[in-house]
Amino acid sequence: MSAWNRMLSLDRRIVYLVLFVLVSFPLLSPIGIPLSISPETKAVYDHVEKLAPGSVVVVSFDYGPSSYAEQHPQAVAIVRHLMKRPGVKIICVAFWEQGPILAEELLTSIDTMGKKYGEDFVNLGYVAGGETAMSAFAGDIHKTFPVDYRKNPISSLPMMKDIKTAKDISFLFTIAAGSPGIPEFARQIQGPYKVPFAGGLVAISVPITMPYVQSGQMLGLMAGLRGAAEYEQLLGIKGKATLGMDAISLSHLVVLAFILIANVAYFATRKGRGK
Amino acid sequence: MRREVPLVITFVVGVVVVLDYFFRLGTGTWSLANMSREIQNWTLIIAAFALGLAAANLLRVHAGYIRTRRQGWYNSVALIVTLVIMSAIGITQGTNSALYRYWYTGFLVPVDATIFSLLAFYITSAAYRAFRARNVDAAILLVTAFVVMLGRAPVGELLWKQVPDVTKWLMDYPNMAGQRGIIIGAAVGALSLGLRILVGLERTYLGQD
Repeated sequence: MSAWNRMLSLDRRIVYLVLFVLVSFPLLSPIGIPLSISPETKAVYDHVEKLAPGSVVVVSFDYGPSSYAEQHPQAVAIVRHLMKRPGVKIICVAFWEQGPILAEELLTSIDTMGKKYGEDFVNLGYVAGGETAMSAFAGDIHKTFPVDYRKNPISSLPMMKDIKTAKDISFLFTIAAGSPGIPEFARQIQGPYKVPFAGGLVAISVPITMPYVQSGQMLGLMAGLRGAAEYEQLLGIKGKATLGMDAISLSHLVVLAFILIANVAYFATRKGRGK
Repeated sequence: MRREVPLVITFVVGVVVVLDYFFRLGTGTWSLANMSREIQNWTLIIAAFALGLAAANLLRVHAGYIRTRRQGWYNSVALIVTLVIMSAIGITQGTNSALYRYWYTGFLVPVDATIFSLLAFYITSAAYRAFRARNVDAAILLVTAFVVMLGRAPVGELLWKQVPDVTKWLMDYPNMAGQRGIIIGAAVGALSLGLRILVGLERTYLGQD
């Protein structure tokens, strides 16, 4: 068997090992490869920067543990930024059943910058029903969520007294891993109520979502872990996304190198066979 | 009657919700908006019951697997044990209790994230084995994937400064054209299916052909 043939039938465990070693290395010892900011991420940041005191922002936690590593840094970045904005009210909701516990974990672990639960931010929890639930939420928030995730009647929360429907929302941001997610929000809230809308996505969902950005339905987006790292850079912090960027770079290089080697071997053996 | 009643309910509910999306008609209890809102609230209640029903069905199916010692039955044991434990804690202490959060963040999050992370290894191995420039189409796909992957990683800019611009062009033009076609095609399909359901031509949701 020639060297090229051996290369083509490489044991998959070697592929796994190379990837494991090269991804582990930058996680343990970051290299700090510089990162440019995409216009989509910058648009989200700029919009949050322009929010006036009294603005109401809905952050929807529509992801679960499977995309936690990629999307929780997005949630941390946007909520930290919103906490920094004076007078901005934050409503956390979820149309994925795993969302509320992740929202609660975030709200109890970050610096709220003096904002108080019930007065400046709230976690409403989860409601079943997917797209229908989004529509119901937009039409009547109090009826859809009579109590919050901490079992307080939401009519007893000072910040919720004047927030009744999607007409009272200044900005909607979803961290969406799938369906219900971007298209459903665009159909049920952004379109009918003209609410400025953006989202954080797993990188694999970015190509299918780009038409919503170009059409203006979404004002921007955070694309995968890189989007979160770009946002951290704009905030001037080094969070988990920034730390993961070097590992992303090396893992992409490993995949590309393997594809390149396999194709060179493929053409070399094909030539040898006289094809 | 078993066929007509569901068809009439579907038609009335569908027409009310669709009209409410486009028009504001009437005021008070019998306004289109209010009727639509009530229908949506019923849907939420049905959806919540469906979750319970799904959990009960999951228990029934996997209890059957254990009883018949079907291949991999021990996975069903793990599923039932964890389902019962998490449900019991959630119902008795609430999903915001320390104990529930401990199990969730200490058990479910790492297990789920680990399984998802394994995809990176499978994708690398699969790309190595299957991603070949066998013909012109495959070669175009390969080159495009190569550029986009480089463009999405910070290291791409170090290797070639123009790579983010090329990636952006690929996303904004060829990708956008294809994705728009898919989205518009799916929307037209959904519209057509919706109309067929409303007028009773599409009845598969009733369990009939």
